[in-house]
Amino acid sequence: MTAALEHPPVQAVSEPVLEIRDLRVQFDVPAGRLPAVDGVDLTLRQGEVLALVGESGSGKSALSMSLVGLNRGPRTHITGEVSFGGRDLVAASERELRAVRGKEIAVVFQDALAALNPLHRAGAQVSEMIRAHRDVPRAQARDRAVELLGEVGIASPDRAARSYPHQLSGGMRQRVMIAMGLANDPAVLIADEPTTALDVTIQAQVLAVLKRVQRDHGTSVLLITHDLGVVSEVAHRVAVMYAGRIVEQGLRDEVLFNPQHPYTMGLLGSVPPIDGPVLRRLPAISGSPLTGVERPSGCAFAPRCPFVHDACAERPELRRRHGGDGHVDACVLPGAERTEARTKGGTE
Amino acid sequence: MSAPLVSARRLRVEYPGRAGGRVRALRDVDLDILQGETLGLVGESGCGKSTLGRALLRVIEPSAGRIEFAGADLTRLRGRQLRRTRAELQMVFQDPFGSLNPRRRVADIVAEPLLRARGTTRTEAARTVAELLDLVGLGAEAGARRPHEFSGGQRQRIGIARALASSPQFVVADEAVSALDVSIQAQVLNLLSDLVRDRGLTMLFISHDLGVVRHIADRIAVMYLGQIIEIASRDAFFTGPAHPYSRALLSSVPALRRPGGDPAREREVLEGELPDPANPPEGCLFRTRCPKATAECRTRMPELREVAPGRSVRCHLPLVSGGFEAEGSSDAGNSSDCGGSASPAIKDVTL
Repeated sequence: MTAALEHPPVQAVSEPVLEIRDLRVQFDVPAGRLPAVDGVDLTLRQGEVLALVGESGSGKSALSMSLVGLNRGPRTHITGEVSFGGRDLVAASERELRAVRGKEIAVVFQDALAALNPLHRAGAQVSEMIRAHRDVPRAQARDRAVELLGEVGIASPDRAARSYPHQLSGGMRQRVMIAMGLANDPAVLIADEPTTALDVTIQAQVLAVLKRVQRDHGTSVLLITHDLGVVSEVAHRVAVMYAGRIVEQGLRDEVLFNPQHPYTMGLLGSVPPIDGPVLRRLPAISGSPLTGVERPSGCAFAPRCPFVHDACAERPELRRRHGGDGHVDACVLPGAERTEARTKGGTE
Repeated sequence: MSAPLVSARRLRVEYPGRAGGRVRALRDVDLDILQGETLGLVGESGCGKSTLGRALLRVIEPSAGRIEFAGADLTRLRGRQLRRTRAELQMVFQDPFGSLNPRRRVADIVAEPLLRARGTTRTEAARTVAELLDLVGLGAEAGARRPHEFSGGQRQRIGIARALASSPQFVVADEAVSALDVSIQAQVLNLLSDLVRDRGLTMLFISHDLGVVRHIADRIAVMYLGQIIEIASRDAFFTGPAHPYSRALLSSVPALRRPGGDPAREREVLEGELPDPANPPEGCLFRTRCPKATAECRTRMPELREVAPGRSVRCHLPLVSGGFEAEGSSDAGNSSDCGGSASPAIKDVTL
């Protein structure tokens, strides 16, 4: 089956569905308080796929989990505001959040085998998700579950519904997770590395399903990923995270093909492409990401940045500087130096 | 390019399956890895690429077939001879967390293959270890520390230093950069390609990541269900894969595509999933997912045959057929199911 590669249409400015303001997530660790999310502002709009990109420890998963209170606990400190449907989810009680999770905001995880209950059949898990939030008869929920399994591209949904998770392949399990995510037609779907554990041919199938159901249902998707290729395939907008902060944000093609922040440039340069010229050496970013509790008061990327100046000692604001419409970055480099940075990509 | 350093002939690995059956992880693989080259081995989970890498080093004992290393029959070596040869053959693993003993100092971890294989003195070993730690960018002082004090990328450098300690000729890198974040992955890839060049290493680079393989490998071999289904030079492979599976694999990679894109690059989404290896299809193993399968594919398994100089494909209907017959090359007579072993054609691979 071949399909022309479609770039998702650039969304006209639509209504915000989820607005994050100055979100901070800190974890108590033996060395002190780890600032996993360090003051993030982010808006998810109606019907868009917003990709949150970053490497391990950048805080992308901590951010997404805190939106629906999945990482609440005695060692977690969450402050800021997450407005959703007139409520602030940071201030919401666990009881209020339970009513939101799975109904209005659903989450699809990377590791479907761990997220699915091994003792229940796939179909039962999907229908359970429906019945947890809506008062529908068991038989009706069961029929809807089979329908949903078909919708996510499972060839024999009846049989899959009767199977236990271990009897399904990784790609099938991930489809079951997506079906569960869609069970209550949520306004927002948070997909945390939904295809990372899959082989590429299966990943392509699952991404196609995700794209199709997103479009058909008009769901707003927050896609957490480290894979810039996946971003290129499905996202409308991109936010790049580094050390708990967003360093660049904009329309997908702006960020991927007109990157402004030296970290984004370095990240793009680090991925060996499958076409075009083969470089003898990759323009790698030197050093390692920040992982400890200590963070510089200025730009967090400065210790690895080949273009660091005196001005980087102050924390840079995320605002529009040299990018196109709606394209913001947190780098104080002047325009001319950015051009140079882009051609060098990064240094090792 | 030169003569093969490592060759597999009809290499087979079988495991006992359900109901007394046998699961073939490797189905009579023929492969030549040439002196000084980096051969990229790609395929999806369960295709047998790691099994092949391990069987070549006899980490897994083959059920049948032969492995030659520098002209010697590795499959027959025993005892001391095997230990001595093992010093020439090393492996870099995927998991920089699981593959280093957490209780030992880094210097001891790196020195281990050296001390085991050669009867090197401790003083000599210490000097070599310090040099290696420098070489991989950690600095000699790293030797006194333990693995948990290092990040993932640094641990992978320790694994590389250990693999190089006994001055091997051949290294198998099994998903050696897959667990690393991209910015760190690029650093480790640069290190690996420098080492391959400076030390004249021959490497089998196993990876599921086609971009990474393209960056580092001279030639590419693709596996599917325990068989090699295509071997080609890097450029030939990436500009025009000859097997329908290779083509689908390449087209499935989510890659950065410019706005407007390349209209020629149509996305091909392969349907279905990998067949059960314990119950493979009759005929061509790929036919159940192949968009081009014909009646012949259902009944007769294709051989791995040379379709162009240096390029072999296991397909009745390869996507590339030009060049070879047209040239009327005398090498044509050597075209055989040995594929990569059809050495006369190798000289044509220019990289």
